[in-house]
Amino acid sequence: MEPIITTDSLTMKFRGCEALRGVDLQIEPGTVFALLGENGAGKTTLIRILTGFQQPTSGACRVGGIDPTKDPGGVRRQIGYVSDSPALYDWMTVDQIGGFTASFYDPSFRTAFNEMMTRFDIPMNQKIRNLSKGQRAKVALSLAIAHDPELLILDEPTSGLDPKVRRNFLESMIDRAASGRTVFLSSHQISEVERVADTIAILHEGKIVLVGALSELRAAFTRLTIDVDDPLRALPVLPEPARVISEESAGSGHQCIVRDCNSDMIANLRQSPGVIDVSSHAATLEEIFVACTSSEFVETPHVFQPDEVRQ
Amino acid sequence: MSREGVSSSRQPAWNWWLLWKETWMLIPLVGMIAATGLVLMFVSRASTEEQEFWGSFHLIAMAIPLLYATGAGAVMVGQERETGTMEFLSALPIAPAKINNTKLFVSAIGLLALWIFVVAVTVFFARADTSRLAAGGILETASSSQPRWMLWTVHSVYVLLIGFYAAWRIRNVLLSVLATGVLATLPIALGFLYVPFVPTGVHEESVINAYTTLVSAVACVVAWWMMRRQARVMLSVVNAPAFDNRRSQKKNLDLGEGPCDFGSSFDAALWQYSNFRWSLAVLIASFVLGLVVTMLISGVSRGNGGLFGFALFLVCSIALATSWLGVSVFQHDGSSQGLRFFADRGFAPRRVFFYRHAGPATRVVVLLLIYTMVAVLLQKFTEILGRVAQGVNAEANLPSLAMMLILCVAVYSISQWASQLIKTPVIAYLLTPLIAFAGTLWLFICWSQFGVALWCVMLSALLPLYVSYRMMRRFMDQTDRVRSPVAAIGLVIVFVLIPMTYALTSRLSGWGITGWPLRVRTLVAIINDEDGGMPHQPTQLWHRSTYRDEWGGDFTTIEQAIASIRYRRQTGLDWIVGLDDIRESHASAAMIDRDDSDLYLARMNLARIRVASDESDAASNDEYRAWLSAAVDTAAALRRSYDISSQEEADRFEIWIADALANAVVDEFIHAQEVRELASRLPTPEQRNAARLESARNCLVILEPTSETLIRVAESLAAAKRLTESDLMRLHQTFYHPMTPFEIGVYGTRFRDRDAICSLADSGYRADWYPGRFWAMQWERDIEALREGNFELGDVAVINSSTTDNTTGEER
Repeated sequence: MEPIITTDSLTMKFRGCEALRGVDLQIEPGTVFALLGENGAGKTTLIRILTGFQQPTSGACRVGGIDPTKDPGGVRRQIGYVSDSPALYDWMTVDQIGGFTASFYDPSFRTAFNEMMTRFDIPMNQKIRNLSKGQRAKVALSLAIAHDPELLILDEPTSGLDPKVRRNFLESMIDRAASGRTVFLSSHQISEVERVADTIAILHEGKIVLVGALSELRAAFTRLTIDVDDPLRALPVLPEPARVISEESAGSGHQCIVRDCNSDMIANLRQSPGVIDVSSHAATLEEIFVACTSSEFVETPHVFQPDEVRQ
Repeated sequence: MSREGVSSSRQPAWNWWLLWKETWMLIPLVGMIAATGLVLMFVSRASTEEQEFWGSFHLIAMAIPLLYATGAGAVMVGQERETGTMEFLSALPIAPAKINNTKLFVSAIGLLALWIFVVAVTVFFARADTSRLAAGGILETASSSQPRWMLWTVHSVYVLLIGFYAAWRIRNVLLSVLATGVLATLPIALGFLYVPFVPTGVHEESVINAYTTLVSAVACVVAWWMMRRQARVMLSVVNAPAFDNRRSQKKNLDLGEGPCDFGSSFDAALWQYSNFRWSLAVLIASFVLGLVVTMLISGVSRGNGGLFGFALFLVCSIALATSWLGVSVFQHDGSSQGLRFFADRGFAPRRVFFYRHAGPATRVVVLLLIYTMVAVLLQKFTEILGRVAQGVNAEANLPSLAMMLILCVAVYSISQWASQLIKTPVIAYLLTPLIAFAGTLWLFICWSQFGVALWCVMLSALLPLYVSYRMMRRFMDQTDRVRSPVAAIGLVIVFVLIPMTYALTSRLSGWGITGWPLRVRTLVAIINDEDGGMPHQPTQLWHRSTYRDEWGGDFTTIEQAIASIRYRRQTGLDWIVGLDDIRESHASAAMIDRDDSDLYLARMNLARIRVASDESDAASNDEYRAWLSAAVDTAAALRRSYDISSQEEADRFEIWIADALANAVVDEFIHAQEVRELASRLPTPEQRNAARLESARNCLVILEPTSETLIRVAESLAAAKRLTESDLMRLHQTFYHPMTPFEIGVYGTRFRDRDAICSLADSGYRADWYPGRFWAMQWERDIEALREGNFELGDVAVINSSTTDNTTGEER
């Protein structure tokens, strides 16, 4: 199946900094794709390029087979988009903004929007300016999905939503993916992403440092806790293909996030001189994220290449 | 990919929801500008003479669509870009061109609606006078009674388009408004630059008007193209900016320097306000707009510019900049966040009040320093110019620093308060200067016309600042402002009442009426015409022709030119409506419009010339006698009016009559007895001075501009007291110009030593309106001499030149 989003060496340079540095992505339809990254990593810039608001400095991308730099309107017609700080017309009522947005779509939009407002328990005659932050987020979200787009792009979609609504919303994302629609979301809420995402990408300082299916990532990354007899003792080197992504030491205890580490390697490690104990667990997504976005990881020559994950 | 959800296949040419949305965004701007304009028009109508009213009316009328055009782009585009809703809009499946076209279409409808509104208001005020709707141009907008419809209509379209361009081009909405203001002046400036190239022998104003209209039309096309191009750029994919590696490195170095250190929270508050780019933009926009306003008001092409124009420019620019600085206290970029920042950290509201005002107030002080430096340099320049070119009028007439300080305080105080009542920053920046200038003008009238003490004026000027100080907690907490409109209305009432109360109290005390109940009863009695209070409404004398011959007016059609010639050739008294009425009752009073008065005197002069050219023509003699008789009746009726301007008209008529009767005796075509009889029908000095005093006092009730000074002078004359030089000096300072030397003013010795008829004739019988300028002059004694039959030598002035001045007591 043809990817719904493809990017090829996307770079974006602003006057003072490089926001994106050669981003390559392929997102399959019918998935929930999560883009993770620290503040300022370039997530919003990437979304603005994909939605046709921003021209990249170099590289190419296609959304639904359309180049957003050439036909931004064509892209926007096919997607639903909620920005990180959705701005709505404060002076309109909920009903009016629904009617206004519906005028650009088919009649089913209005019905779907009204149903969502009823479900969210938002009064239709309430002015937008009088809504709470969470209610505004719900309205913005409903406006983006009421026309049932093939691709939904969400920038920090759950900020401001209460836990109950957040849960419902995340479940609806899974339902969308199940029905063949694609969801592209960027978020800081790793635990939520972990619950719904099929594919994860981690963006760090403008580069995709990790991308892959969530289940594969979970299987590939291991957290090792190693106790040694002497705090100054160097840890033994793990054999190929295992790679230490990050390492933390506290006295004689060491904690490492290791990729492609199997049980034989752990058994060998236990036998190493000076090693008292070794315990291993599957790394959480949060641990993987922290490991991948640490500066040591970027600067190390053993950069974990996205292609390696795909293999 | 499915596209069922999008109605692209059935999108109509007009999206009614989009039109509705754009219209609702524009309504506050249209409504507030129309309402403010209307209020200013009514205030202007209530406080000025009709002729003066039309000058200010046309300025206000032209300003309404122009202000709207300046702000429309900022409201429709700039505001949407600033609040982020433009991104929401462009994320919808709608073509960029459609967004821009819809916005422009709705704005154009708004402009059209305001022009219709202006025409409707003009028709309302002008009643049946269709000449007020004639076409015209840019010169002497303020002084001319003709509106400049064609030019200003085209120009407003240009401003609308260039405003859209600026809004698409500049992200900061306030900067885009300022840029629009500056760009809006381009066609006008080009029009004035063309003045030196107008060929001699053609009607200068018509050529300039046509040229400026043409320039505006061409500018419309250019602005349209620029606006469309810029909209397309902004609504399509934003280009990647050029990467500046050196800047990137510099930024990284800057990051390593660590945070700034502020000595105190006050320093930090000052820094929070500082924005060099914004301050510079305010300064440039103020000075450019001030320059154009000066050009429009002083009419530089007619030689009225020069140093006077420069002074006006300086005052206008500084006042405008001060007003915008006042607005910036509550409407500056991020002001609400700034207030919130202080509120969240528990700062005392009164302390924050001083913090917020520190930045703008500092800039106002800098403006005053600049003004002082310019004034000193100008003083030196005029001294040099006076020495180099003898006889050159090098008077700059710059207001004193104290006057400028009061002006700036009043404008700043009103602006900072008025701006917080307006929710939208763009509208606040557009309308607040108008409100501030109107308020300051009111205070000036209170001081100069109602005799309110300067301390009371300053107190009123500082009142809005005090209210802001008291309401600071509300601003900081950003609580709902339900009570704000009530507070606003209360402040306006107090703002009006303080000087009025002072004026009323002091004036009624001057009449020997003390105690509030008595004062109120006296006022009611005057208004209800009880106990010899205000006389009945005077009869309005006016000309019968529907063609209004404006001074220096334009003929746009040959029919108008023919009508003008016919009108000028009219003779006889038939066209004077109301003359029979005042003759029927000798107690009735009369009023006359200034234009009609000029025409009246011109007709009388025409009759006089006919008699002088052929004394044997009996018909001419009869006609002249009829004019003399009518003039005497008119002067007497005007004198009986309670209206101060009618007293001035009566002076002009009596001056003319005194001269005409004296010369009639010389020419011996009227019998001496007849002259005595005519003179005896004129008011006696006692009646004349009593009428002047009464009308000066009545000004309080009918809100005619006058002053305590005028009343005091009239009281002196009514009590047959000597008119001192200090009285005349006070009149000069109040009505003429406080900065001009007394000797060269109309109340000065040079003017008063001349025969009044010469002064009138010099100005074509259209003497400027300065109350009391002809009081207690030689012509009053001439009339008495004629009444007593003292005209054996023919030249009355010569006969009386050596007699004792029975009015002033001075030897002449």
